[in-house]
Amino acid sequence: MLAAMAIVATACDPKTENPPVDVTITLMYENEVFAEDGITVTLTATDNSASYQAETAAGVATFSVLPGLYNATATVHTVQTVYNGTVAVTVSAAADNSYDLELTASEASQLLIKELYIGGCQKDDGSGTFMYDKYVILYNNGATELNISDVGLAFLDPFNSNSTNKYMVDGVLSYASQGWLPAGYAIWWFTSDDVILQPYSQVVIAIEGAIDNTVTYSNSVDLSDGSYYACYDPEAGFTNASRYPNPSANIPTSHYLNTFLYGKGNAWAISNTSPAFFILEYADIEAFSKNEANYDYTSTMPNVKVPNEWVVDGIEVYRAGEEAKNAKRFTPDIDAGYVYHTTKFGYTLYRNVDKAATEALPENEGKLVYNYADGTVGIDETYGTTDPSGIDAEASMANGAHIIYMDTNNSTNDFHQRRASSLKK
Amino acid sequence: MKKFLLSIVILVAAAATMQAQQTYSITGTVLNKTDGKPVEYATVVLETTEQWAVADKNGNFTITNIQPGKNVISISCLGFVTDTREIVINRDIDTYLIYLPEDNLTLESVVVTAQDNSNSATTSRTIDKTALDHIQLMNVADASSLLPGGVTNKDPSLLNNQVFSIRSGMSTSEVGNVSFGTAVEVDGVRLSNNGSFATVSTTGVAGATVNNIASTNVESIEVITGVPSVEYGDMTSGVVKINTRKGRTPYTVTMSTNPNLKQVSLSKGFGLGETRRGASKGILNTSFEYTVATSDQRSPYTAYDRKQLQLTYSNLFDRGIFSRTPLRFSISASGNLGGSDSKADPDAFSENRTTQRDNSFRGNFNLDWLLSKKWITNIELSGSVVYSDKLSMEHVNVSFAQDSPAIHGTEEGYFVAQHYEDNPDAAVILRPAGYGYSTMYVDDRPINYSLKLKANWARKFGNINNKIKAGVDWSADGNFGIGKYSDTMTTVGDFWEYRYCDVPFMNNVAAYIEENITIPIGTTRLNLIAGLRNDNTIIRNSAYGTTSSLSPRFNMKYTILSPKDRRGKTIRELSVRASWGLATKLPSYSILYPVPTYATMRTFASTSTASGEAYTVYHILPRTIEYNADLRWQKNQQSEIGVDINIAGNKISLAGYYNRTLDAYMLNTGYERFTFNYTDISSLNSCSIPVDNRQFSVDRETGIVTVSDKTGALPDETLSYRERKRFNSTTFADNSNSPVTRYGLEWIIDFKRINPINTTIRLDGSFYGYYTLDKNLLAECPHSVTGADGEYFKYIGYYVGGDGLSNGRESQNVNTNITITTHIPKIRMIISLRAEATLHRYTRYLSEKDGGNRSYALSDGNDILSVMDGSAYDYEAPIVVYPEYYTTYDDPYTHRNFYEDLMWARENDPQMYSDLSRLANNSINTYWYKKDYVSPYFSMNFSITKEIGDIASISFYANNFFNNFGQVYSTRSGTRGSISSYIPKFYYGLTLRLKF
Repeated sequence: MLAAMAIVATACDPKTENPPVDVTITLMYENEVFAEDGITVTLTATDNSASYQAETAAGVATFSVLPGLYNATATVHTVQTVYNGTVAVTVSAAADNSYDLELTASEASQLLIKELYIGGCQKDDGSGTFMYDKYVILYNNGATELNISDVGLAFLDPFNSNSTNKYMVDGVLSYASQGWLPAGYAIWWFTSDDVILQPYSQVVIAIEGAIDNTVTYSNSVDLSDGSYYACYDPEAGFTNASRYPNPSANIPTSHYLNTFLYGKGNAWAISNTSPAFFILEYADIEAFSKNEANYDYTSTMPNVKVPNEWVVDGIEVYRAGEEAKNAKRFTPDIDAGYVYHTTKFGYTLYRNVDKAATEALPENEGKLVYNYADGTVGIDETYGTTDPSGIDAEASMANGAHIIYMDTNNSTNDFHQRRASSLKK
Repeated sequence: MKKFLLSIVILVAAAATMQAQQTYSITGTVLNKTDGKPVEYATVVLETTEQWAVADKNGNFTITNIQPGKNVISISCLGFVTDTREIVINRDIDTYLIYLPEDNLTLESVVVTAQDNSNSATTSRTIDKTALDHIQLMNVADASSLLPGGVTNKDPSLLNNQVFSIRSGMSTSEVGNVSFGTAVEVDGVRLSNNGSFATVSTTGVAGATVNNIASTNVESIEVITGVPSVEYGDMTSGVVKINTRKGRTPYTVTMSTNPNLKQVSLSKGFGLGETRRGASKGILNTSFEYTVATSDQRSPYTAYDRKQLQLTYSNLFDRGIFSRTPLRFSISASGNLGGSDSKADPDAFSENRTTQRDNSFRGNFNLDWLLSKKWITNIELSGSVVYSDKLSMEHVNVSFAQDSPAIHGTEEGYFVAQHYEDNPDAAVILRPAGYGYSTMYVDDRPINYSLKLKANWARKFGNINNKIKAGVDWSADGNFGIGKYSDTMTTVGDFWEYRYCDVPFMNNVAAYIEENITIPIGTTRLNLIAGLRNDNTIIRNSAYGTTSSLSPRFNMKYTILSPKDRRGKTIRELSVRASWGLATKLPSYSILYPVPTYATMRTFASTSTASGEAYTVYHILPRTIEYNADLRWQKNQQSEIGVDINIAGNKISLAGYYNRTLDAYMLNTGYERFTFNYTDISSLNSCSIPVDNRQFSVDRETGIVTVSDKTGALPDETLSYRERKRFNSTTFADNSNSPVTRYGLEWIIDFKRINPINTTIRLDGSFYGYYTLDKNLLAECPHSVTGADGEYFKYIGYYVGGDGLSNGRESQNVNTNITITTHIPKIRMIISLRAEATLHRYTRYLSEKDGGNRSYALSDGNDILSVMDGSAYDYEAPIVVYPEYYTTYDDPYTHRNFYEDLMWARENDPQMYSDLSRLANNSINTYWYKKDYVSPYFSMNFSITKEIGDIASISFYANNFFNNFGQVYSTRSGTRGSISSYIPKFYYGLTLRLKF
């Protein structure tokens, strides 16, 4: 017995059985080595237990890590173009650990998803979670005015990052090579033709509960402001009175977004935990949504095939605690990363600040507030993240600063989990 | 054959008119084999002539008026082994002495498996107390595992409803109301679920739950899986007869435990002594059991308990006027208090709680009067009542961000939601924003009572034994419950009152007659049984009126070789049997009177003010329920053949059956057109009354919304509206026009006991097949789907068997069990090891219709018109199901060709094409119709029982004791899955029994 225990104990010693091995990641773009120096490549264990970074030399990054399963990601951000890529890496002590990381190019957008709040918060009486207060904030990340009236809100199928993905065939997303994304359920569009976003300004869209939710739930958010927009269209079939209470009289009906339900149900089924949410731009989303020719039937309900080129911005959210099942839904040209989200505690997904670009704006002189402390590092032990720029965007904006947010089309780089909604002052 | 039968009839008729013949009597004494003391209350039965007596305090008994000839005498008493033997009565017998052995593990004859009832002409098996104790029965439904091919229950707790389901499959999705059709009787008291209003699932009505039957007081369970006697009605899938303990017994204490359950019981059969004249005062059996089961062994907070008291008084009147015609009498009452309760776990949010009562009262009496006349042997009168209280309560915390409407109105019209304080009778009540608790009750109190009169006539005509049984039954089902109600109307959600007690009782009067004749033919013996039952169901003041049904049943058993003639021969016993019969199941209230439902639409929602004030208008429409006066009672056509053979001490029993369920009950959906007026929130844009001063009202008939100024400063304003159209569903009870077929083979091989190691081996198993194809034409309007014009969907498709990808299923499985039992009488111990194996498990979903394809394979999963030639079964490709035809809202009576219109619309009308596409059910799943074979899987159980003298016994069992964590492979999906969903988890239990 003792001998057996000794053998087991010996077998469990990683130092003797699993020494670190070298891994080389070569960045590729259009079948050629992307021979740049100094590009950061991140190697993350798929179980989220470890993360390593190395810089490229002539497009090649070298690591020394323990054998296991990893994802290698890289993002190259130029003035107009973002190169993103990710590859699954199996590090073995016995095999050659050289992998190519294929980069795809995409353009940075002026209109961004600044914040996505979908996880709900704790009720005051300790009885559980209130989740009917979801919202999204869109942001003009540039110095020119934007008319976003042709913009729509959508999410990908499957709704949760850990759900079985019927589009995943032999480890590859079947739509990756077809130039479209499967938008589930329904796409919301603005009813007003005149939705203007001034430079460095934002619009709040209540996805559910366009009322002051803090009256009952003090941890929730007040979505009754007259400047806000609201997803509200009971005629379309979204009649769930809990998710769509009588909207605040402060919000004019012209601020309502409408939709067409091509799925089934009485509410927009955006995930509480882990959506792949995106915004798209097209002049007649309604007609496009209603046209059966644009439907795809891979899943249980039809999805609308949204051409990739219409996608303005996206965020890929991974469900905390589901590392074994979480899987990417966006293709790398839309979003190459993911941000972990712990649901139910009022946490929100908030975009990081592009420190260099923001500091470079002359009008920000003396207005930027640093020492950002609203991330969830420390309060969400495993999944907490923060803005590496250190700039407190909300405080700086309150100070009159113009914030330029990070836009690398990679949620890992672009977002962090904030401890509270930015609407809670 | 006709001549043969005719001669039998003539013989019987002639014999019936014969003059009185010499009769004899038998007088004897029943003694305890162990100590030679008299066995009082031992029952002595002459099975051939159906006469009986009960031994007095000295063990003495007398039966008179016995026809001469061969007979079978059976002596039984609680706590003793029944003694059955042939006897020839050709003279008065004065000193028949019987020594009954006590029933304990010192006997070699002890068995712990289900035993065939060898005298029965149909398949019937009995599981006795020893076997039930050995498996430590906690729930009587677990006894099914001892039947051929039986599988150990995967759910050892009592938290889920347990039902009997005879000769059905391993899948819970079988249609045809199998458990509902299985009759369960406790001491002759039928547990009926006819009074249930529970929602009818896709598989039909559920059978009566048996969780509340005290398991420790069960003496035996008989399961009739074949064609039963016509005495049994209101069932289609066999009979389970549970017999509780009756007779004088010592104090018996039982204590049991397993990871999910604790049980303690006390029972005693009291002899009440004698009257001054020496007559017995009878026996009083008392039994109390307390059982508590928890869903999670780590937490006591979600639990089911039963506290059951049973009292049975029985006595014999055999003096004075009853001296030659004794009368047996018993009356029994049992009450159960208990149910399930999810008490608030202190670690969780407090005060949330759900409870479900499982209180019941079962009472019955039975009079058995032995007349022993030429023209009648005995007459039995029995009555029973079963009353259950299944009140459920759900107490949950609620919270609302805004005043939230809850709908309770049962009348049609438009209604503004109002606060309870303002109008307690409002059709729509506004629950105030904030926190609170809501409590919802469902009061469900079904009752069933019955009265039965039965006469038996048993005569011998030469060597021919003839028995005739005739009787009339009256039974009634009803419900005293008041359905849903709440005492927290300010917080409770939508519900509608429906008083179960207002529904008329369902009465059933049945008459039956059965002829049972046994004819010796040489050394062989032929037993023929023919019976006819007529049920007349009366539901006064209802659309159903009176429904009549006939149930003929026939059984034949031919005993070719009898054991008594074959001692020392290779083949020691051989008999064959065959049965055919019809059985009828009465409907439940959930079929006859489905709980009404309501279509509700929010036709207007105002904006909300800063103070949270909001107005909402709902339209309420009671959905039509069409009471189907043509509803027929569900029937089952049963056919069975069986063989019993004993080869050199190895007993083999085979039974093959073929059952067809006809006219299965189902609830179907229809659609009716409906228009209503809708007021969009944007209509408020033109309203000049300030938001905070607005007060809304609605015209109940038209739905037109009017805004008033609270201050009175501004005149009323009417909001603009528009008409909207939609379908509303309706409900009606129907009979399926598609039979459900079940067929199978059951086998039991009891190998000859291996005496040197005190071991017996049993190999039992079953092959079971199931086939159904739903050919009912069913209407479907896709739920929660919006039309391509953004309005309600306005098309209805009519599909063969519904709009699912499949309209039927076939399945087969082969289960086999090996039970190795080592019984060492000297040390009073019995050990059994049982391997349960599912060797074959096959399922295939079917999609078929007469005269063509019901579904098609697609070459492109995203193109519902890319159909390929041939059957969808021939491809592993995406599939589509089209409706047979469709109708539109505007033209509901014209059956339109779906495929042609879809083709046309694709080229000419994109919106119509989009809508019609929704009527085609397609899937990219390429293996939908693929045959699914699940790889074989196994599980092992172990049980041991040890008696410690006569005062104690202890049993231990471990199910799935290898804790099998293997995987099974499914050919349909090509994947491996955990075996845990197929076999029981590892669990174990211990029982201690004390007698004193």
